[in-house]
Amino acid sequence: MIIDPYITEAIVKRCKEEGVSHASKSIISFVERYLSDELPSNSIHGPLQDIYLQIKENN
Amino acid sequence: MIINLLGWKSYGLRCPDTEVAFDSSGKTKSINLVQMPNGTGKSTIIELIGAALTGNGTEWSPYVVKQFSNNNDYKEYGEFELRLSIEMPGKKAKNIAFKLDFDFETGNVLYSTLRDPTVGMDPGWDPPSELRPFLDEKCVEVFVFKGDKVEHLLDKDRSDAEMSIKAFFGLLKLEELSEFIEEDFQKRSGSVRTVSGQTQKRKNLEDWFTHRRLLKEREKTYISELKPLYKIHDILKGKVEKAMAGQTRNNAIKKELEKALNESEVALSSATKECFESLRNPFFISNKISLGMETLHDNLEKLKLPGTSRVFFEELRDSDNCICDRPMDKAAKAAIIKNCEGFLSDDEINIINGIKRDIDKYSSIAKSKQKEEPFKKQEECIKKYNEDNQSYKSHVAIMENEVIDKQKDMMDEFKDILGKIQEKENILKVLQKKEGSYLDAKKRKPNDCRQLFLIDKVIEKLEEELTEIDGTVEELRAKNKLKKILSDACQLANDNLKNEIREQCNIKLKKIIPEGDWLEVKKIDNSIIIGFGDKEQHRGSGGQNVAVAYSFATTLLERSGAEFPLIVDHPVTALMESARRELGKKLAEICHQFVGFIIDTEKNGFTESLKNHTNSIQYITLFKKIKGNEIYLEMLPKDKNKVLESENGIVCMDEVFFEQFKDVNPDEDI
Repeated sequence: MIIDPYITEAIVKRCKEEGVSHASKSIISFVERYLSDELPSNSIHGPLQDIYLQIKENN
Repeated sequence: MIINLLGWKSYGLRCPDTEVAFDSSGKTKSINLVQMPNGTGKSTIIELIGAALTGNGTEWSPYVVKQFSNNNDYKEYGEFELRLSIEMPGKKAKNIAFKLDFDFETGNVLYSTLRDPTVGMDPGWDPPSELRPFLDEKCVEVFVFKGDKVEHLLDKDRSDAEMSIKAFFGLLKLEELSEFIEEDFQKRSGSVRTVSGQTQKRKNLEDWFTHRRLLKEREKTYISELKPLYKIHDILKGKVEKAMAGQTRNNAIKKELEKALNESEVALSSATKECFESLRNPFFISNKISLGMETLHDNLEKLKLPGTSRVFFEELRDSDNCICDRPMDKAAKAAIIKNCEGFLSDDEINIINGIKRDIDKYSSIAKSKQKEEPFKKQEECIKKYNEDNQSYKSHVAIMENEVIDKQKDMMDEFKDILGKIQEKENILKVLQKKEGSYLDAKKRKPNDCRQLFLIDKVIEKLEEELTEIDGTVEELRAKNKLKKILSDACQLANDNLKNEIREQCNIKLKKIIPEGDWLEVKKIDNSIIIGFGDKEQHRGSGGQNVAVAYSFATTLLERSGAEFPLIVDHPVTALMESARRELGKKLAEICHQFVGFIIDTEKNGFTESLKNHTNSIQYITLFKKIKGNEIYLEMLPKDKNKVLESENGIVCMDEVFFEQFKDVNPDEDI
């Protein structure tokens, strides 16, 4: 499933509002892979750590 | 991506064993009309199409599975195969098929999938990856329209419209992601805490986590248990409604039988009266009496009764002169008084003449054929009365048995299911309630809190306190921030999608609905809100509601990039003829493939209008080979290529047959 542009747009907007614009690309890719069944729920830990790191960078 | 429905094959199920092909001419048509008389299994086929697409047949309980068996000709196994084609941009279309194998003895369904015709069927439900995201139950409901779908989309108490949008655009799945993120974090935090040792606070948090997992598991269990219960509920609801309709019919039949019985009773009573009248004829009592009566008659004739009655002599006695002109003296008067006693009075003469007349009359009746008529008539009346009485009693017995055997059991079962649903829904309501103070909850023990919303809040707070101690607070904040971003993005995307779909819907509606009948989608909340100008309205006319539902469905399909066929049960049944004509004009324009399951009465206005606006129509008529349907066999076209015959069903792909077909038994339905 191709991620709907409205979801991408909303993630970008919210990342910006939360001050983590730099993480938006990783979050979008993570969501895209998850929605396309490429990322089962038991394999999300690695990509999540990467996103947490990016978010923490800002904090 | 364009998906076409190519056809289906069924065997051993409630619907006839048939093979329906929409691609028999090499290419699928835009409009496919499948005409099936009531009772042929339209709803069953639509249910099976949905199950083939979603793979949800594996979730059916044995009770639900057994509902698909053929009651009239039970077979232990049944099959249903659905064929589709998928066309990706710039690529050659590929055909796939889903097959359901029913085992009615065990109540199980097994799936197999054909993805490569050279390899054959693989076990399991395994759609191609590009198709899989759209085969969620909520997505399939958008393009496989069951009877009440139109009402559901507009029902303010339901959230079918919103759920369809969320399912089609991945928002439902996105909502689930937050849960997985939380689970992942908890798993990781647990391992950190083990290393750090167990303080009272950590123990407390662990207890809250354990309680949350338990309630989450319970929530999941109840949701999954409710699904088959809803399914059984729908089946039973349909049965109860049908049984009630049947009982209404039974009552009408009972009334008619009762009327016939009353009429027979009146006729019998009248015939019996006539018989008793006839029995008053002494000639019918015995031959001896008959002979005696005839002798009496003859004797009375022989008596030669005097032509003068006693009154004449009494008047003469009071006269001065006799009729011979001699004066009446005392001696003559005394002689007349004495002798006139021997003469009969007028009354006596009348009686004797009456007896003679009656003997003549009854004797002639007795000698004629008429004498048997009242008895024959009574015999016929008794026979008719007995027959009517028997029919009435049998019908009442049938009705009583139905009430005892079917309805009562069914009603009990229905109430039982409703009770179970209610019980589970109430528990879910408490679990999912989103109000209350987490501060109050935090002071209590985890087991005292049953609201997941509050438990999450307490855990969040406890986690914050603990992560500050073990140095993972930054990770906790990152996790919470990610969850918030995703949750907010989901909400925002949902709002934007709803708005765009509303606008697209209204563009389509303008094309479908005639000017004078115009209405628009005002907004999409949980359901579709329609109205005109500043006013919102609960619902539109039958035609308007159908137009809104079709516009919504096709907009979703187009917007998602996956163009599925629109498969509709009774597409125009709620529409006036004028609305049918309007819909017929535009139907080929609003979707690439339309498959409508119709009954003969839906043809009026609809098929004619379709024919006037498109050449791409496939006409299919499907009926059972049962007693009463012989008339259809005589009507079948001579071209045998247009007719497919199985042990219990006929599929005819002839336009003329389709047009001339008329349901001979329109009351029954499956």
